[in-house]
Amino acid sequence: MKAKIAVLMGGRSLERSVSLKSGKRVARALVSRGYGVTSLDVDETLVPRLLSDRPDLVYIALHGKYGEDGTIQELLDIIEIPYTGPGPLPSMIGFNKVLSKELFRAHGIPTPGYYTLSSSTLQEMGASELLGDAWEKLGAPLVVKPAAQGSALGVRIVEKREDLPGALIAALGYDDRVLLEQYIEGCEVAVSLIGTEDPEILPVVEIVPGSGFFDFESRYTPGKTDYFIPARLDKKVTAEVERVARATHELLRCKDLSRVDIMVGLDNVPYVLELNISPGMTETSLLPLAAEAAGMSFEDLVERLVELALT
Amino acid sequence: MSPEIIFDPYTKLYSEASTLVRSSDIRDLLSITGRSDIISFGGGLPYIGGLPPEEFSRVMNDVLREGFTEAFQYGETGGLEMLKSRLVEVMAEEGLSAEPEHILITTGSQQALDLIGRLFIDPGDTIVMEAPTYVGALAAFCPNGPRITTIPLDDMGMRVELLEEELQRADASAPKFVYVVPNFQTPAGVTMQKSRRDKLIELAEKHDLLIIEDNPYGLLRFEGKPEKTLASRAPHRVVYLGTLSKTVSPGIRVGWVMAPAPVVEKLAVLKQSADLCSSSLNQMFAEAYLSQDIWKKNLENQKNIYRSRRDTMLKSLEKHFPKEARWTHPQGGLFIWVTLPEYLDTSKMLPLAIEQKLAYVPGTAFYPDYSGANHMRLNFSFPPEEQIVQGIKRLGKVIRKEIELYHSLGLDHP
Repeated sequence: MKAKIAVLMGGRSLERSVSLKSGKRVARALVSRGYGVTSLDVDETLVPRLLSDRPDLVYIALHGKYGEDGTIQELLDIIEIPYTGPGPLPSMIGFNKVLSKELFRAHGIPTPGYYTLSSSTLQEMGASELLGDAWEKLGAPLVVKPAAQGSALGVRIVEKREDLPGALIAALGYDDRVLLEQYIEGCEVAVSLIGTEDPEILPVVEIVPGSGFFDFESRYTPGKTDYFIPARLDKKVTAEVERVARATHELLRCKDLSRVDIMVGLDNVPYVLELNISPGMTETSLLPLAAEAAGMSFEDLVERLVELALT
Repeated sequence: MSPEIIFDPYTKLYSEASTLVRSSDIRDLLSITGRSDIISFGGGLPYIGGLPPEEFSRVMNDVLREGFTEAFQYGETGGLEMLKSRLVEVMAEEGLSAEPEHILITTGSQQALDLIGRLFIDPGDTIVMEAPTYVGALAAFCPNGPRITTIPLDDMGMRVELLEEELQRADASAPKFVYVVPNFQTPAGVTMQKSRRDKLIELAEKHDLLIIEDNPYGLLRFEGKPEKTLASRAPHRVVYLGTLSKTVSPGIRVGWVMAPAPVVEKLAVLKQSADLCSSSLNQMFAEAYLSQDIWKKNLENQKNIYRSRRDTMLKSLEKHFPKEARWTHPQGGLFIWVTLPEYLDTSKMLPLAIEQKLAYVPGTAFYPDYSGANHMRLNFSFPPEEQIVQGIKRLGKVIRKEIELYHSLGLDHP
């Protein structure tokens, strides 16, 4: 008898629609592999449902707040139902770019330089006075992003000093803490890792946004984003990218799965931008594409994550 | 950054026109509004809960019993003749006299907009629209590649004197048409006053203009005296769009075009390639429903609900919105249009509102150049009154907080 699995999707996060796509696809894959599957759109009935159904496993196909920030993981730990992917702590850290970047720095993992600001420092301590300073130190252009947000929502590249406050307003729409981050010119890649100790590193995916920047606009403008698997990097650089990705995965003690997003600078240094513990699983998402390049069908990938979670 | 991007291997195959479609991250954010815990001022949904299900089932059962063969068969491209006669009666309610031969039934008036775009616009042609304008009209026209001239509106509707200036500019190319929503405009909620209508017709005659008059909300007047339709003043200058979406139900997808005979014929040819004919079953339902007086009674009932919801929203706005905000006082329709201080950007504020479990549509959606960021459209027909009170209160807080933030960044003065 195969396991009874509840697939969690949707919810109230701003990435709801992508999560619904991921979740439905995962549920179909599990059904095709003979699992007993219940699909749950997360709302206030979630815990009572889980307590009465008592599935053998929860598959987390949630993206963004609540699903990726440790909230749901913590909850499942309390009611003692196993789930796919990492636990609360790596989720919390991965979702919070300030925490994760500080950790990267402390452990010698390269990450772009940054400052952080909160709406309260701006409003109650006159922090807007230091913007000029930050601008000078980080150099133009710079990237403004919400400290905690799972996707490119609220992210802006700022090339002119006068556009900085407007970019802060946009980012502060998503989180009351924002990062001003050094912009790294180079090649953007995503590395997916499966497993906990000695994880399998899937082929590196290179992302080429037509707009020059990987933002929400290129997501929605057809023909703007392209990708290459494996990434068009030389062997040595690829090995370095993989080493850094793995170090990041292990540093955060990610269980079973993570996707590490990296900017390979013109100096060939892989700068880690962030780590995702619940990467997208849609037909055009990075993790399934990487898995496919490694000869793993979508169903294989999903089943593998389930088996890892159950052992 | 790590976005959930869409890699699309078919990109190279897509047509040029498909890339002109308006895309929006707002749509993605607003997908959350389908959840029951969100108070949504976002959509333009009529309140179906106010309609009597028994009456609708009875009418539908009659159709199924008496018209089975016809209801499940293809119909005429132009539409069901009997329904056209009913629609003539519906238009007569607004003082518009029409001939069934001048009517083409469409699958919602959205299809009419699509057909009109294809019939009249070549890439680079000039068309005139109000600013702000109906987002669905922008979506329908844009793939044809028009150059859009916008004419701002105020409380009296489109500022026709600015259209006149535009038409007199020596270098201006003659527009293919002028698209207007004269009654309780979406998104602004304003109604074009008589003097403006007179002037628009005068300009149309003088400059040989075609007017597209989109009138989805005309029968949803809560108070005041109706203005005569443009089509009734100058039928040869006007392509008129009607719909049952707001007066009966959007789910039946029944709309229509009334236009001069040659235009109707051309539109019918285009419609044939689009869908051969609109749903026979739905047209028969609409015909049967309109043949009984209940439709007027039900509409009256809907209007009472909407009027009361509008009043509640206006009162709540007065109470909870900051003093810098202004808004329209619609005499009908579904929407209130809010104007916030110039520097505010309502699309950047939307995620904060969603975090507070509410939604609205940012102003940028209604401008071809995505300007109008300091506006927002609020729908009052759908949410119940207690939600309107709650939601406007919360939204007022979100706006105040945002104003403070702008202030702390020194962005609150030009």
